[in-house]
Amino acid sequence: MSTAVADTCFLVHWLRFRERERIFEVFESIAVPVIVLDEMGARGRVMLAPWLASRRAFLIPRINDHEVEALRLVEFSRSQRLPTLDPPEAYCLAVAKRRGYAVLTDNKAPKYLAQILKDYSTVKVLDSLDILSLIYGDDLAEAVKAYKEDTGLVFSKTRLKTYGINS
Amino acid sequence: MEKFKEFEREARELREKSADWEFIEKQPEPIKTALKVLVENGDLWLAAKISGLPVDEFDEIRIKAKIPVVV
Amino acid sequence: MESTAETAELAKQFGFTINKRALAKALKELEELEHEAREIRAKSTDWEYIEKQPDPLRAALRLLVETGDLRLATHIAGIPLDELDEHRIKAKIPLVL
Repeated sequence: MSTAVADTCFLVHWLRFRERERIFEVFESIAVPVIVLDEMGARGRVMLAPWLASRRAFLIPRINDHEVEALRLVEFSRSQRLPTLDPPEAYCLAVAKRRGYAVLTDNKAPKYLAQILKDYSTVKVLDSLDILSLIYGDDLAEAVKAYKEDTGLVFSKTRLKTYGINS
Repeated sequence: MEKFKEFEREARELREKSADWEFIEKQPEPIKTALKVLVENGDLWLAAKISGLPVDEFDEIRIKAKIPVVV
Repeated sequence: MESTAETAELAKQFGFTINKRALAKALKELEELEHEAREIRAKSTDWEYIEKQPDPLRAALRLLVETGDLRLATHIAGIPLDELDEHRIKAKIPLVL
């Protein structure tokens, strides 16, 4: 099993989910950049603490090489037609590429950049729906309903159709 | 490796016995959770990160909570 | 708005190589998703809750309804991201993935 690096915009949602522990059926460990932890308030830190304490999650320090690469990605993403990449997401992408991790984020920009940049084509970027699908398989519809109740996230009808769910 | 595990077990027991749990339970989150993590695994840096406080400020609170750092 | 060729040229300046077909596909998908997302957000939002909030939180929540950008709204609000997410849920602003 592998490691995924998590952006804040995935963690704050996933940590609300009643079955959040099941992410460890997909990943052996979750890497959390300290800049991601720094975005979190009390609630997020309290929810994340057990994972850190048990070493299922670990903190990634700020590393200059990753920051330089993240800046390159942020500067490029400002191109008008693309969603803008935020620095923490850019950092996650840079780490993932270097270390062979997957990226967990509920923002679109990292996903699309990984699709369009040939250098990043091997980086898997997954959002909440992708993770739910990996965990729940045929029981995805129930899981999606529960996730929506817990997080206030809604999944696009087009995407749900690709998973055989008609909403 | 066995010696290290034994040391860790003793250190955790010492932290659990020494800690002022009344003080810990009175703390606001995320400091309360951070102190509990510290008692559990002795990792001051990690616990400080969870608390959101600088390490030296968190260490002040550690002392007030009577959680020893076992060396 | 620049063309795919212009985006590819810009990418080259940063040392990246673009998959042009993937770019065209991504842009089309994004437009459709954003259209659906904006409709869902507009329909669900509890405007009464939003209007009761002090600025800059109120401004941040309005921005969130408009753009769906949680992190940007967080910067405007000046509070941690998970705290803004609490307000998002109370304001019934869904994030659409």
